[in-house]
Amino acid sequence: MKQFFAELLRDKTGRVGLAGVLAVVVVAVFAPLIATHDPLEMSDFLRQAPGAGFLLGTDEFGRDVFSRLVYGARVSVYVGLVATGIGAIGGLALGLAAGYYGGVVDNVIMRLMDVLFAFPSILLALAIVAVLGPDLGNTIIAIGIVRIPVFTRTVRAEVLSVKAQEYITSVRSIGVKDGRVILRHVLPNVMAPFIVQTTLSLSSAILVEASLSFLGLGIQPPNPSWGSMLSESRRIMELAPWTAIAPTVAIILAILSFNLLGDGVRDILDPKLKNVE
Amino acid sequence: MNTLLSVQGLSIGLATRGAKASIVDDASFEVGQGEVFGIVGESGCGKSVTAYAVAGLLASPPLSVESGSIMMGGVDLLSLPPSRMRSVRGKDIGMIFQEPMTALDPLYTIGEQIAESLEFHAKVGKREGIERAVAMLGKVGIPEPRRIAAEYPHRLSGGMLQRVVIAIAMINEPRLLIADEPTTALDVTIQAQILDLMNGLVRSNGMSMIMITHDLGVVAETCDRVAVFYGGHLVETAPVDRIFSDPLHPYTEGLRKSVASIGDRDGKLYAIPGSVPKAGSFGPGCRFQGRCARRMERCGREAPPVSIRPDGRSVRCWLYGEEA
Repeated sequence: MKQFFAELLRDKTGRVGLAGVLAVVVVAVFAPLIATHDPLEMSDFLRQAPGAGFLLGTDEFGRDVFSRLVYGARVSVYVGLVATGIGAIGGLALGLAAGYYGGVVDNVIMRLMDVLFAFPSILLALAIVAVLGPDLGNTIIAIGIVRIPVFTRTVRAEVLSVKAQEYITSVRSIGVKDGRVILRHVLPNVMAPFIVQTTLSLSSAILVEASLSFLGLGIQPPNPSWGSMLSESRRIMELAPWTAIAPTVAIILAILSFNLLGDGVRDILDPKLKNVE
Repeated sequence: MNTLLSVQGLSIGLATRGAKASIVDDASFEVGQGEVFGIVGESGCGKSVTAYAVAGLLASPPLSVESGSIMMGGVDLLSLPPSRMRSVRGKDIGMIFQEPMTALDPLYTIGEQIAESLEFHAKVGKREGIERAVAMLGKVGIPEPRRIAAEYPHRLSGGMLQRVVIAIAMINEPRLLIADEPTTALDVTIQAQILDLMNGLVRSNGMSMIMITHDLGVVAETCDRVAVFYGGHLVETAPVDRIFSDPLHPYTEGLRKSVASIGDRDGKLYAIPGSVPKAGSFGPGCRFQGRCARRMERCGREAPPVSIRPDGRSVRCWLYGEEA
């Protein structure tokens, strides 16, 4: 673990990504301390340009854009983590079962995944939220479900290659139970690509959340989310461009950081990329 | 000699798209208590599959046992439920694999992997398991066993790893050891060491061993009796010296003649003409007929039966068919 972080920090990409991700997480965790205003409080200064009183200006209801951005980070990080967690755990279980048992189990699971895969992820998430009703919890569930097929495929592919290794036959030849073979010998050997996938998946989860909120199906007003802030800024974009620029930049930087971190992690964990410049 | 393992009429099929190919057809053989039994044949002749079937480790699907019985100590292994078969594997049957480099899980130490088998069958604790693993490593000739037990597999050479694999297979003192080409991946000097080690351990513990190989040299060095496989048919079984001095089946004869000898300075190395037909593509008649120097008209029509010779050897060939 220590060695992992040492390697991550040696890599420029990983360093930048980790710094960015840490920044977003710190902002999210300490939002009440960092925000200069109550994100929901409507001041008398409408569409105020960025300046001394309001760091990034105010929106059309006079709410502080900076503070809303800070609280929006909370939503993004929270959704990113939990939704990715749902997708990752679901995908891990399904991928292990499909890859290890093969045959009918594999067919049923993978055809189901193909069906989920066939929908564009935003559309699928939209459909799920439309059925469950728009609120934060349902958004997270929807994004999580959308992420499951990606994880299932990654894990299954890796399980297939691990299963063909002689050491799996070897542990079976000493009479170890299937469950134990999977948990003790298959699972640890598929962790590397799984972790990479998880890191990369955080950014798409955040992006999907922003998109859903933009469409009005994620976080409900007046609570701030980067996506909904962007959505609300449409009407006043010409008058107060900072209301659009701020969340856009936040989304871009956050996604970029998570992706860079993912790349850095992959460089370390993927043995195929070792020693390749 | 008491019989430990008796395989009768074993047939194994491979399910492919729509069709079923026969991989092993009607193979029968017995392995005695304390006997080293060789299974020889070319790649794809069904020798490994037969051994995996004995251990209950067939990749199923697509492979499955179609018919026959595998009796060990009075129990039909094929009729055992998976949970019972698991307690046979590792305890009564140990396996040694071809590629020591990949036969160990890269994420656990050598000691842990040896102890895993103990924990499972002997129900010993982790600490005692490691202690016994260290002792076992000493027995398979690993220097500084305590230090090696704490190492991960990638730190050891192929020969050392094969010793570890042998330690895993032997730690529960199984009655039957199945060795699937245990020396193929090793270089020649290490090969000899590993064979010596296996032979010594098997003989001194009174175990039986099935040695699967395509190398007649290995057979000559280790085995008591040999079964020769060709295209999924067991074509001949005989004591090892007879295989070399007096082969019955034309294929066995061809195999023996194609071994290079250090005395032959001139002349060409004999090779059996042709190559093995694909599994499932055999027509009627004897499976070896296309490459056989002593083919008769009858070989193309009917598959030869297995005939048991007066001296107990068995052979599947029309040359001997009528005498049986």
